[in-house]
Amino acid sequence: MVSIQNLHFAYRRRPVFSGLDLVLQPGHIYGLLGRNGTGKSTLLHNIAGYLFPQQGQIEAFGFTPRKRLPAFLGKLFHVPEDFQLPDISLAQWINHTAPFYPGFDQQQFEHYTREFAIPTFNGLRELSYGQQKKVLISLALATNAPLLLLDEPTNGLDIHSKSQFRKVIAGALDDEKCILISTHQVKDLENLIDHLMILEDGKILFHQPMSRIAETLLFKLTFDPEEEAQALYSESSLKGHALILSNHDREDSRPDLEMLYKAVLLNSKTINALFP
Amino acid sequence: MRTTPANQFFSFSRWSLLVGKHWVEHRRGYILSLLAIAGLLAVFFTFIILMQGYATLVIAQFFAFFGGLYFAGCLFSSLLFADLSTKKEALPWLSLPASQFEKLLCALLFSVVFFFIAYTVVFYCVDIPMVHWANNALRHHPQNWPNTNQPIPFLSVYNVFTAVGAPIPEANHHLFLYSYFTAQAVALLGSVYYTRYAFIKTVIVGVLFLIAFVLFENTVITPMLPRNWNNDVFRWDQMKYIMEPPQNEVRLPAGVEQMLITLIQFGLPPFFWFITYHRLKEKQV
Repeated sequence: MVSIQNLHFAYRRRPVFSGLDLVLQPGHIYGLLGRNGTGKSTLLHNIAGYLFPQQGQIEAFGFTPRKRLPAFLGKLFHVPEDFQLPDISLAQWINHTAPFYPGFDQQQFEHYTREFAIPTFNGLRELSYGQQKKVLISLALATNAPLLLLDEPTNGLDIHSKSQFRKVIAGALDDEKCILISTHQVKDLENLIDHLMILEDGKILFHQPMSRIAETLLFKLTFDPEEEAQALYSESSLKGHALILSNHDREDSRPDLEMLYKAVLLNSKTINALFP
Repeated sequence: MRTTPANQFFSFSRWSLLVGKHWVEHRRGYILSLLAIAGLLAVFFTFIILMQGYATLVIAQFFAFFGGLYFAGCLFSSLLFADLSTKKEALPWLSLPASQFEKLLCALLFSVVFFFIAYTVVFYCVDIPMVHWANNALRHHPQNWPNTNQPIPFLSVYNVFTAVGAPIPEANHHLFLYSYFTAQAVALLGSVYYTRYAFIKTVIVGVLFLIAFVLFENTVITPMLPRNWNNDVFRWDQMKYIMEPPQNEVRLPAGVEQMLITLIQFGLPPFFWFITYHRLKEKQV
């Protein structure tokens, strides 16, 4: 669906990507994590064709994104972190935006706005930032675009809306859709993504499906100093030591993305070596 | 499910959707702007009549029309792609599934066609009552030209299309109207080229270009001419012998002159639109 080969990109003198490779497949929700300024949004902008690679190739659905052809743009919906909706009513906006997306489904849109409890009779500018974001996410999902790029989608959402967001996104995924979520709100991705990607120093430092992470790594709380000595990563807490261990015995555990993220940044070679 | 038009360069149905979307999202601002223009024109005419007398309305109509058209038209054009200057407005614009050509054509429809028509209508909505007011006043209180016994005749509404009654020698060529479309095309290009303060930067570049042109005329072209021969920045197609008598002039062959005038009148706006299109295609946010 999306193939990125040897991507090089720099803002004037500041290099962002130097030889990044990535393949995104349909039927998956990818979580993209990274420090501030590592290029998460820049990667999304390159995929969407807002920015052009200085070297390397990006291909999505057989299109070159930088050409920004209507057929390509109709297969993609990008929800940016910062956005501005026009000063018109929701109904007017949908009536004049949805027809550009061949797969748009009005009933689906109404379903999502109900799920998110968005007041539909208001002007868009009268809605709060969080409500506007939910409108945008509802449109994104109702377009049935095969590729959804969500940049910090949970920023501005209240606690209840965040859980609704996870529910709605999980329900919207099918075999033909690919959803890429860039965020630093690691906790918001738990139980949602099925692939974790960590971006660092212009490259994908870690990229594994959640199922393999759960198979390969063991996340546990312990007071045992011996176990702590074997840990790939450990954190102290009131409940004991939170550890990431190699999962030799294929024990069940729930991956803690925040810990894994820190562990990968500290010790990526050792952790990647566990994933042949 | 809708079917996608196959043509990725231009589809009339997609372009119509784009025009409809642009109108719905901007109509409130456009209508308010036109009302503001009407108000400013009315204030200007009233001020001129009260301060300078009825006769000045002949010149005032000309300067109000073109002054307003150039300023408001260029400002409007430079705002059409203002969305591209901020990320949060540029991203929805760039990601909307329409071709860059359709987006440019939509901007041209609003700036070149609709704005010109709307501005001209608004101008006459203000101008015609003002001329009637002045003529009524002259009918009841006839006035003479200053320091003469000649009565000021009734005023006529200035025709912007034929330039009849314009206080300029270029009435036949009507260059002011043609060059407006060039200035507007430059403003449109500037709005794509510059991300911030596009209108101001475009005006500065335009002024610098005019200064460079005048300097080129004076320092390169004029010294190459024989003694007592001169050329004029605004009469670039003819050289004049400035010592009188006799007065001579040399002009380009009529065909060449006409071709150049036609090219400048009708060729420059599409030339700048073409560059704007390519800048749009390469625009990154």
